[in-house]
Amino acid sequence: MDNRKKISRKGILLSVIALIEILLITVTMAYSWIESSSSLKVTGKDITTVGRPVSQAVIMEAAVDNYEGAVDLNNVINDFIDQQDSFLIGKTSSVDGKTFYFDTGNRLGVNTIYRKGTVNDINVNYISFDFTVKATEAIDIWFDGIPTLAINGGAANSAKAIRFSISDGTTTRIFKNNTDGVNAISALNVSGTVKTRAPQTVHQYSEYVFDASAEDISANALFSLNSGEEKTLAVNIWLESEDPACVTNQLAGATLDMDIKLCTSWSKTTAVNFTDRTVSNEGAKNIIANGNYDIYAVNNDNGNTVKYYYKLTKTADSNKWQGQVPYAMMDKIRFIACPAGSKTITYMFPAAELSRGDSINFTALYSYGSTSGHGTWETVQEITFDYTMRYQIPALVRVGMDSGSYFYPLYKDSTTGTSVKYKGYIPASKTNMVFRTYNSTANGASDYKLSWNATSRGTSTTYTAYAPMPNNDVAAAGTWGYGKIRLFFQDKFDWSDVKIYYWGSSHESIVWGEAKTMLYAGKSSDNYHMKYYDIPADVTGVIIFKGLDSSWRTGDIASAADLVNRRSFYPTNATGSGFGAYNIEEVPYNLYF
Amino acid sequence: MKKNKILLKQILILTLCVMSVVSVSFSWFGRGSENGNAMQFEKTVGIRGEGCTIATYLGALEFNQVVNYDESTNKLFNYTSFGVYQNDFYNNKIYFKTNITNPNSYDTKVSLYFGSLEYTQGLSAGDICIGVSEPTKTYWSMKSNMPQDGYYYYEPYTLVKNISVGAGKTVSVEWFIHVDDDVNISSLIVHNLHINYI
Repeated sequence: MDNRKKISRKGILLSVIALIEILLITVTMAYSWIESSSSLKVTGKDITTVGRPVSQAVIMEAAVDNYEGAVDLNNVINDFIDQQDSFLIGKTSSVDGKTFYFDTGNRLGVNTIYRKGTVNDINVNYISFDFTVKATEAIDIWFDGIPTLAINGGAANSAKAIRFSISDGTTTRIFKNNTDGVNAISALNVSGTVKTRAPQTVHQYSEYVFDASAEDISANALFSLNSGEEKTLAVNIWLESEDPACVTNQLAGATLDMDIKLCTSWSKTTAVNFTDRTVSNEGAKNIIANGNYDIYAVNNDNGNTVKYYYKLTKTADSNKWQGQVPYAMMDKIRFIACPAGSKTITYMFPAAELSRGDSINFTALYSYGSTSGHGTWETVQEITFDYTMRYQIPALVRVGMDSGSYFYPLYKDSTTGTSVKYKGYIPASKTNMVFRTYNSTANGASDYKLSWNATSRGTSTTYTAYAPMPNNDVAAAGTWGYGKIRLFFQDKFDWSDVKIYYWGSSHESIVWGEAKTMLYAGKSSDNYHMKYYDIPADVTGVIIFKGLDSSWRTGDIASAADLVNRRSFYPTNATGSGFGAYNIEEVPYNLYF
Repeated sequence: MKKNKILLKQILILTLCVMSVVSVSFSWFGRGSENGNAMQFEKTVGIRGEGCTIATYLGALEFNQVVNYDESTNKLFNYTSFGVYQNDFYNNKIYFKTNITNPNSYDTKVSLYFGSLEYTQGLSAGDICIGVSEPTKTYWSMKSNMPQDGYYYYEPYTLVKNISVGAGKTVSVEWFIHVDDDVNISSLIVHNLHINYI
């Protein structure tokens, strides 16, 4: 007979369960009982949700306004202070916002004897709580305006005695309501048994209030968190008994009203504007405004997945959208155009990092796909490229800002005679640029036919492009300012010194004696010297003559057919001498071009 | 007996299970996270009233009960400092009751302090202790600090901290001083018994 006690399976099972429970309670429960109210995680898009994938926390459907949610920390206070609603704030003193002292009413000689606060004084004599903030994206934290901390709804003097401190464990700042006495309020030294008075360093709330107008908005942040960083913020609110404003008859039995808001770079927003000034390779302008697209401001590091969408609203100006975007996003802001109702990116601006400065106005200039967006944060200026030649009308005209920069297409605006005007937008600060003509609409920066170095724009907005010099098919010329046209003269009779006289311009006026010497342009392909001169486009008449004998001259060249369309002449044989001795004919274009 | 043991075990296990479900789960998961991009707290709290008064009575020990906290016994101390004599001691203890009265129409919280004790005969460190029996239970061995002509115990003592006194209410603090058996006290002075609103 086995005399050992038989232990049932049930008994073993129950014992094991009991042991586990005891272990759990010993290790975890005791801790959590004590610490359950010591922290609160404040989370959100920038402030992560525990147990919730970031992507879900972020791409909420309310993409436009998901910066508006604020965490109510009142729950935190209620958890910390007396739940029986018998909490009454009392007078205390702290020089550092962390250690608190109480006047015992006893004296040792002239010194007041204070007792050092213990855990039993926390949330009995003063308000003290902490909470954890975790940021999924980098954030700055400020006061959102001057906090309300008022006695009985606003006893101004006694309100000076209110102190507020906030600490991230490394930096602790103490604040007071009023501007007077900053950095000069006596408080207690923290060393020794008998406390002596010492200056308390006090800040004004206004120093750390969010300021949208600041050059660097982060400069006065209370705290900053990097992406993924977690900080525990500790708050203390007390009545500084050493402040002369701590007057009993104003405080006793009164109430303290608190309303403190902390904002972040994800809750503070700025307006952004997106303007479509795009031109396609085919010369179609406003490719986005003329399509059916939703525009979003998005957070997108180069090549990374879009995380945050803020939908912009189309304005009365059909080329312009506007919306609100958190400041935190402005460092990496992009704009995407998606077919209405979707978030599939058709165009993205800018495709590459682009310095924004302080600008909130982005202008899209060009894109041929989701990764090719170009634009500028600068103010833009509409310019006109006046292509004055009647031959070789290009398939595409582009403008580039600086050597090496991208060339944006211009659209064909109007045609008058041989003049074809192309228009587009450039950053207004640019004064040096290059225009190029292309024989095809395909992309390819080097595939151009003619090129104009259009420097020193000044305030001009129209560039007049002339025909190139003879036998030179690249180095074309032109001018900013009031429009000019270039007249060519083929010196078939070797006048050598060829002069030009013109009239009718509102910009320039010359007399016969000041007729201009035409400049040498080279030889035409039939081996005659070519002369040229640039005259104001509004000239109404021209005479060209031999400088050494002005009786060898043409008649008035004054018709639109000549001045606007032909622009290139050679003299036929003289029919006599004097005025109108030479008839003119047009030089075939291919002889000098 | 064996059955009782099993029953006890089962009750214990059941209790633990219930506790872990009801209490532990709450504290384990209790303070969740909240979402937002900003933080705000808004609350109104009261500030302590002032103007309470105190009055202290002597007690006597009868049949191991502290009695006779009676104003009519002419042992009322309306002063911040007062003396007592050998006759007031019972078994080396002298009993006091301090009434804190809040005449105002708003609540407050106060702490009760005294500044020092003065003896006409010498006591060594550790010879004297102070106890509070209501509303808290504390017992404190006083230390001789700066002996002068008599023995002064300068170390101020907080009898009770932060006790609530409702509007128009009176709260009693019952406390005592205990001296060693071999010390013969002819008189003892309590200096600066007072309340403060902190």
